[in-house]
Amino acid sequence: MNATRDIDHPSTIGRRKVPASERRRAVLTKMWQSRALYLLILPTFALILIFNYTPVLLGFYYSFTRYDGMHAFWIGLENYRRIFLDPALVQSYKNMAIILPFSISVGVAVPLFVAYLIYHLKKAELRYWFRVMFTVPMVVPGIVMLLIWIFMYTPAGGLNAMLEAIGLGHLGRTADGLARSWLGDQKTALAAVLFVGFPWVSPVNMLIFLAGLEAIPLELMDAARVDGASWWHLFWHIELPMVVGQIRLIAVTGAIGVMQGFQSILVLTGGGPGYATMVPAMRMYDTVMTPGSGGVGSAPQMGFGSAIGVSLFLVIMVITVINLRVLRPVDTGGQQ
Amino acid sequence: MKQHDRLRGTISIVILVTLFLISMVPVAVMFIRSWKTLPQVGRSQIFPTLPLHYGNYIEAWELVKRYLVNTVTIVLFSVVGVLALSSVTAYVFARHRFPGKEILFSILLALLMIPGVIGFVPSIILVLKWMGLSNNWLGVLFPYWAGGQVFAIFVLRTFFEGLPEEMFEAARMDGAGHFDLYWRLTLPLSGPVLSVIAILNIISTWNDYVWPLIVLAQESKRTIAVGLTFLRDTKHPDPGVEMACYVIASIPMFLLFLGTMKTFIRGIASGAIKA
Repeated sequence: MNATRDIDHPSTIGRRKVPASERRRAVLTKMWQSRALYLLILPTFALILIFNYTPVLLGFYYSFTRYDGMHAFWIGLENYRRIFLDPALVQSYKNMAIILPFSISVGVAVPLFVAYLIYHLKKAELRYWFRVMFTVPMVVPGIVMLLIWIFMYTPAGGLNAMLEAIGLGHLGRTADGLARSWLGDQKTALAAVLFVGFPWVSPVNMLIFLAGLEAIPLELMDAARVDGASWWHLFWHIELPMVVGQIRLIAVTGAIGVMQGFQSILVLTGGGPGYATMVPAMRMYDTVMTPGSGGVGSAPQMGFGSAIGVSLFLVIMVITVINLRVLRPVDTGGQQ
Repeated sequence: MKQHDRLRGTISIVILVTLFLISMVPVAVMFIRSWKTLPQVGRSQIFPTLPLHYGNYIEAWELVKRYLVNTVTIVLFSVVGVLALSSVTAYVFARHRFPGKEILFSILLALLMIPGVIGFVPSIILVLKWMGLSNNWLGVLFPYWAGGQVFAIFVLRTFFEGLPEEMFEAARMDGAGHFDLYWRLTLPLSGPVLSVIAILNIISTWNDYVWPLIVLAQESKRTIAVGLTFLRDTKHPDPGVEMACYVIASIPMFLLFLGTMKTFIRGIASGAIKA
């Protein structure tokens, strides 16, 4: 199709030095001829303009207002000032400073390790079946997994029962000898949230790494082996450098996902006890949905919620831009 | 050297099996508890007890069947809508030239980079307040269609562009219009890529929690994910029944997995590009 492309594309028309009015007419004629095409893509664009772009613009606007669900009052940067003062949010940044590095390291290291082991298995069947096995947990809905973990963490739950069974029952009791509620205890709540999903073999990340490893040319590996390279040498000098792209993809998308995510926190703890497991996006949810925190019925804080959303948006965009602009050249051989 | 290799292989398998078994502990706990009566749970929280008690599943089915029907309905509408929208739009972008094409496409593409979090609060105002779609399935379907199609269009455009132009040329000679080119030529050649997109959409819709929680507050409209948390918090079923509900909620995705294993695995691996 490239053969016919660009013959009368607007950009080539421009090069032909014709008067502006004629050019405009040519474009308009072309647009009129393409009216059926515009009609065909209209539903797509109507939907994204209404449901994706409008909320983004509204988010910016509301972030400068106090909005109770009825009237929006312009209050300038007041909401943004609150972002640095709100006690729940301040605690949420500290929590995020722990959650983010932890999630990214675990999300990269464990799946890479598993993919590495699978990749090096000699039998193709084994490789296939391990790949399938580690994908199976995907079929259990995320919410179900979270609800099971909630049970694991209850005082009479699975974790304490297991600790008891292996003779570590004392770990499951608090100082006063009561059975520990792992998610309900200020001291353990955040650790318990992080521990969810142990041993964190994310099927998606594992499959990405496996695909990356399998794309390494066999000649490269064989040549190195003939030279007597050790497995460590192979890993450090060939395999790891060949999946740097995948590591970056997973780290960046993972960071973006963690920063705007709050589903697990909402289901597991709601950000509590106190603000022990609060994350910024959870606070955003609270300002509009939780009664007492400014819910639809009580004093709504949709402006404040929007400001949290905008701030997260800005942080994520900075990461995205850094990823695209600054880090990309490293991948393509350091051209700057 | 040979022996050394075999030893390494064995150790790898042992580690992999161990990791797999630990990963499956929550799933195993769910299964084991789902067969227990209340007194049996009292005797052991997580280890199997005899006799197995299937009655939990009968009770659980009564509790979740409404949610399942709701979710299946929403998933069907969502996936059909996303496939229709994305394939038509991708067809137009892949096989035609028209003024503004690349600008329009970058408007679409930009959405893959704009984090959804900024639109969260305003979307609630837009959908619930202005459109009045609370407890209305359209309140979840519109955003699913809008958001779900973007990545799909991106993937499908690339795929459709790879189809040989000669075939389209020949069909046009025979007087084929847009509809024929799309429906009789493009779609039949795109089965595998369409099913990857369908599966990706089914999984994400089935698992979605926060948005249906906000929009579908009414008991009779709830989806399975929302319904399960609601059941646990308000109806306090027996532990065995509760876990049986979770098992039932996992069965449809398990069947989908068994039926489409290769496509399923390909789908979740490609889903990662969607950030």
